Amino acid sequence: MPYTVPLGPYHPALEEPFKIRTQVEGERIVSATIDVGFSFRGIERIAQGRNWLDVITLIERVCGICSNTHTMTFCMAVEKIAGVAAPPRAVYIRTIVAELERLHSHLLWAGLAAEDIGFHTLFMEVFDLRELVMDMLEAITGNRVNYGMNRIGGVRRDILDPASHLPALATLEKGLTQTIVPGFTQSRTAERRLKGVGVLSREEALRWAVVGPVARASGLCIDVRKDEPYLAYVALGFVPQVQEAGDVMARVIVRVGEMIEAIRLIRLALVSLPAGPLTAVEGAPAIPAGEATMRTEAPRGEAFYDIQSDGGPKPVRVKIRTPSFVNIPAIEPMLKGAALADLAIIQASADPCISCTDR
Amino acid sequence: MTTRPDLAAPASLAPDLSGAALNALIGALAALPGASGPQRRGRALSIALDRFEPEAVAALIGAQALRFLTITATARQAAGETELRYHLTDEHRVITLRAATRNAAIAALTPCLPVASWAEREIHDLYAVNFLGHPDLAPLFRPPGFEPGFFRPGASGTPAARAATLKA
Repeated sequence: MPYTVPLGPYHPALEEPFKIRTQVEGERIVSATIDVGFSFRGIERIAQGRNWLDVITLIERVCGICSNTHTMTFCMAVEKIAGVAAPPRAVYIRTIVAELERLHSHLLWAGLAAEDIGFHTLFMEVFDLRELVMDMLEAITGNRVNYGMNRIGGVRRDILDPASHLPALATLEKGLTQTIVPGFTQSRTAERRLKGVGVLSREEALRWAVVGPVARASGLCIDVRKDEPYLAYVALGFVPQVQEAGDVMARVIVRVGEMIEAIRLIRLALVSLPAGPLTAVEGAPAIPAGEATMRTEAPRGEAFYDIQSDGGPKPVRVKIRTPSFVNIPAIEPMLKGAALADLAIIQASADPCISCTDR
Repeated sequence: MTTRPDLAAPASLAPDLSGAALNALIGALAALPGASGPQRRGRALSIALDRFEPEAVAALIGAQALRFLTITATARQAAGETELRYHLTDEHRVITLRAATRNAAIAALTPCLPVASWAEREIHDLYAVNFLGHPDLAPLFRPPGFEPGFFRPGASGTPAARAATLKA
């Protein structure tokens, strides 16, 4: 007879509070149900009471990891309504910060995944590399998290000496290719914990409408950067990463490939940074009546914003659909038939962000 | 669900729909029951529905190989009513179907498209929309002590609002 094993909402295996109720027969998971809402803050409702500039500060707090994604997506949606185009230098700087954010998000994930399978040496190596990215973000934006880079019409800070960041990128690339990739793909410890575990088939990925690395690890070649290109991704020749196996190892390989691609994009953007202004508008622009939707590829997958304006000083509606909101429910099919001992790494492989999901 | 050839595209930037395929998509949207439009705004497509038939929307998603994104709910001035925007994508554009509640209710999409469940549960929590036929409108984000609809202007279903009413 099945019995219930709850995980969470507060548990050492979870980075943030959510709850997985598993029905278990012996050591096998028969089914799982997920509960969220433990970090609900009502950010969308609060945004309706703030002016257009204050909303940027507010929604930077949707997530501590992909904070730049939220301000950038919001600003680009508002720019659509206002008919404003960010200047080329601002577009490239946004691309650089977005890809640095992807690097630090994926490195955070890789470190925690290594810890979840008891591979503490790899965890240390990953977090050592991650500090390089955090240092670059701090040098460029002034902050390690919540960068405050985006404004309506452009960015707030310049990259004054682009070439100064190239040595750190070279060190990062070397560490990734010579230590992190072999650590995950050639170690028997990692292979036995990740391969064939937590499979989400291509058909299930379509049925659950997953996004980001979770979708691409199940063979779906979807990525907003190629499908509905924005920022400088076309000019930089972005290449998406796709795997077919649908297991935890495939999600690792997709994210590692995305990190190497992010380094290439950042390096190319730094050496080809166009000259010119940082913003298309000075001060606080008036936002006319209108509405716009905007999709971007956050580190965890597609972020979606629907912004509505009546021409007043505050938005009428700020709708935020984060990638984790659609990826977290898909943990349920990943867990069916899995060993209870793999519960921690399977849920982690979706890179669930509860702060994003709950908003 | 039909095959999605664009999902198996080689590792390069996938092309947008051809003119014929885009026209077919626009035609399928215009054929939805109660549809008027569609409107184009840049790449995005938007269509208004004066009645919402979940079976027809699910059939459209299957036939056109679309992906469900989410639903935006916006409280209307008319007491208790809500505008609902069902966002879909063909990966190259956002497609928005606009509908509205009647007597604070609308047919649920979830029985035809289970992936819509969390979006409908969230809107039930925040805007008190009754999704008719939803298998389980259990609270998703609604904290204990809050009534459904606490995102609506002037909501009285929060513990603080109820306490203020009692004091008055």
